[in-house]
Amino acid sequence: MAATKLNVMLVEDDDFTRSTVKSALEGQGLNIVYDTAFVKDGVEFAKKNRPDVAVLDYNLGKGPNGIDLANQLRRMQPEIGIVLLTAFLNPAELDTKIAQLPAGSRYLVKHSVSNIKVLVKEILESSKYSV
Amino acid sequence: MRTIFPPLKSKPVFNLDFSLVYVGIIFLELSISATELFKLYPENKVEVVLIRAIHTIFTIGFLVLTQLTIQVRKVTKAGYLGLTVIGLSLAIPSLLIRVLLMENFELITDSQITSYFEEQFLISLVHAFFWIPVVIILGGQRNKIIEAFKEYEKRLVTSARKKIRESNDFNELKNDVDQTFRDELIMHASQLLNSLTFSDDKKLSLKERNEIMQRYLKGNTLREFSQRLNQKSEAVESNSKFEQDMRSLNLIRKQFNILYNFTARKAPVPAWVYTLLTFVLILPNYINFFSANEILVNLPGFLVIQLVAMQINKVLRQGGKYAILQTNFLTLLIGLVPLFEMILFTRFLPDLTEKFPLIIIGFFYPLGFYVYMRFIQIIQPAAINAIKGDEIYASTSLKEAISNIVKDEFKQSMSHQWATFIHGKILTRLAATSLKLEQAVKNGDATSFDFGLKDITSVLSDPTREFEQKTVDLKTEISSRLDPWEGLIAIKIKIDPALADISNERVKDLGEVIEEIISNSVRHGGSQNILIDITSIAHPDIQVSTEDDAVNPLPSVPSRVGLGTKILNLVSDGRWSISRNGAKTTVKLTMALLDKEVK
Repeated sequence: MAATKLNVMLVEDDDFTRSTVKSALEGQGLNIVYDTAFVKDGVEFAKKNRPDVAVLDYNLGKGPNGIDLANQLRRMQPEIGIVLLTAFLNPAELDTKIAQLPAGSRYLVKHSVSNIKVLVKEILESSKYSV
Repeated sequence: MRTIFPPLKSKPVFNLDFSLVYVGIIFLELSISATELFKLYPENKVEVVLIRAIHTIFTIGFLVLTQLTIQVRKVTKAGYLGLTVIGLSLAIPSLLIRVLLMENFELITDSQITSYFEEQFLISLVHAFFWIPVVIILGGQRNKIIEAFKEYEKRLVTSARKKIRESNDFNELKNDVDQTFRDELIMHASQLLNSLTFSDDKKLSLKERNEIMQRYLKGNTLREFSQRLNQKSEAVESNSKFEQDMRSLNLIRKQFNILYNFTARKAPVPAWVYTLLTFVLILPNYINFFSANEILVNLPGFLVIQLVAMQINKVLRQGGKYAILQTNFLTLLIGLVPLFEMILFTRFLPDLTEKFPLIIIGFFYPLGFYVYMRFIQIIQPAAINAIKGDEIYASTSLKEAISNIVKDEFKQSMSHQWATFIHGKILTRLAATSLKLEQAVKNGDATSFDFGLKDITSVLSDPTREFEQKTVDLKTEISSRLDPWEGLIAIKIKIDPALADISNERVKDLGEVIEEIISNSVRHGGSQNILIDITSIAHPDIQVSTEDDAVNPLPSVPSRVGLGTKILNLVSDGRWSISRNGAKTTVKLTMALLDKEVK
């Protein structure tokens, strides 16, 4: 699927980060159909609009984390592409947590996002996931 | 005073527990070995050791056979008569084997067999009618004692935890740990801020400025700090059943003296027990070695023992700082009475004196007697009642051990909170700034570039600003913990109206508990629904009960000793449990609010 045709949902609790990532992705031609800081809103939106890909922050503050949300989205919409953003530099630190990620999910160290093309590539790859 | 043995007129029934009989056999064989090696057959040490080894194996074999027979017949309890039948079924075959071995190894001649058999038969009757029933009865008590100890351990730990959590020492530690983490974060943030500020040269092109900034925005030292905190918080201690049992045993060891001192003062063993124990311990020697006249001459010794034992009781009842010390001395003195008798009689009645090796009569016997008496003292029902009634205080070493555990749990909990904060609020912002600057360079947007730098500068100049430590009211705290889960799990909550207005630092702890329970329920249980009930039970305790529809089974015990367990332990002083009931998983947790903590 071409990047411009993808409907992407973004869940990130930090306003500055969310708006920065959103505008960078839009600059790459992606269609950010929804962005929110709240899990509840993300779930509601996905239920009604079935986005192609969800870009989720791992650390969403108090309450559920990005993996909890990823699992819920996959239950609701088995074919949804999922990209999890994390600030961990060493993926080994995420080992036990990655094991809980739904199949087909991709994760990206946040610092790599400064090269936005890396994130776009992950989004495109994740959108190819089929049940 | 109630003893572990019921009144003679009653017809009690005892649980058939043979675990201590095995221990008894080993002790008995060792005791007989010592007498044979040092007194009876010092020239035939190899034969004695072989005989005792073979005899032990046979006796244990008879015990196993007896146990199997009883199991097949599905007998689990017996009266005293039944116990003596079991005693005879062990003692008589064991005696026959012993005589056979002694003859085969030529330690007794054919002409000595009859008299040897007669002597040993009397001793075997003592074993069958006294020792074997006693160890079976004590074995039955063993489970009660261990269970009481386990419950006692739990309450002791809870009480010690509570005291430590409320202590000034712990408050200082909390502040120190918090300040240490704050200081280190501020230091790393300041270093980064300085690097960003001093390296930025506005005369350079955006691209050049960006290249310099990107180097620092990786935030490596902050990242390492966050990773270190994260690793600290996730350190999991193994906690196997064996380790738990060893911990309990260690606790019993540490508490033994306290328990002994308490029960000895509160419910001292009656004087006649000292006399009876001496008689039963010495009886085999009377049968084996003493003539009737020798026995008669020795009998007044029991009067002395009874008088000293009565003095022990008197000292304990009167109490006083040195009562236990005096008691210990007098108990050892009773154990040394046979030695004193031997020395006295050797001097004045050499013809009526049976000599025993000094190592047995002057060391093993008195020491064994002393240990027996201490053991008998702590297995009194009074001891169990004292344990159940929380009348025993924790030893210093136990308090220290628990204090270290509580402090460790707190440090791990704080490490986790700070790691999450740095990860979510600082590192995330660094990465976003990095992206913002890249985009600004791409768009040739200097304003956006400067805005990005200004934003991160503001974050780094006061990095701990958003780390919440303030107290909130219960409703606000609960809703801040529940609201984020909406959409993932349906939560029903009931809060006791009496608690609605409380506002103190423990409210935040309660929030941590709620979050921990919900996240476990979602992540490990796969639950879709959870009911939370927060009630004010016996003031000032709060009880949190939750019930979910988890589809996954409960995790095994070791995996529960993660950070979540430590948070629950820390907050509740260890008073929480998790259980599976049909399709529901229930968590119950009690946490104390001090009066000063209630608004």
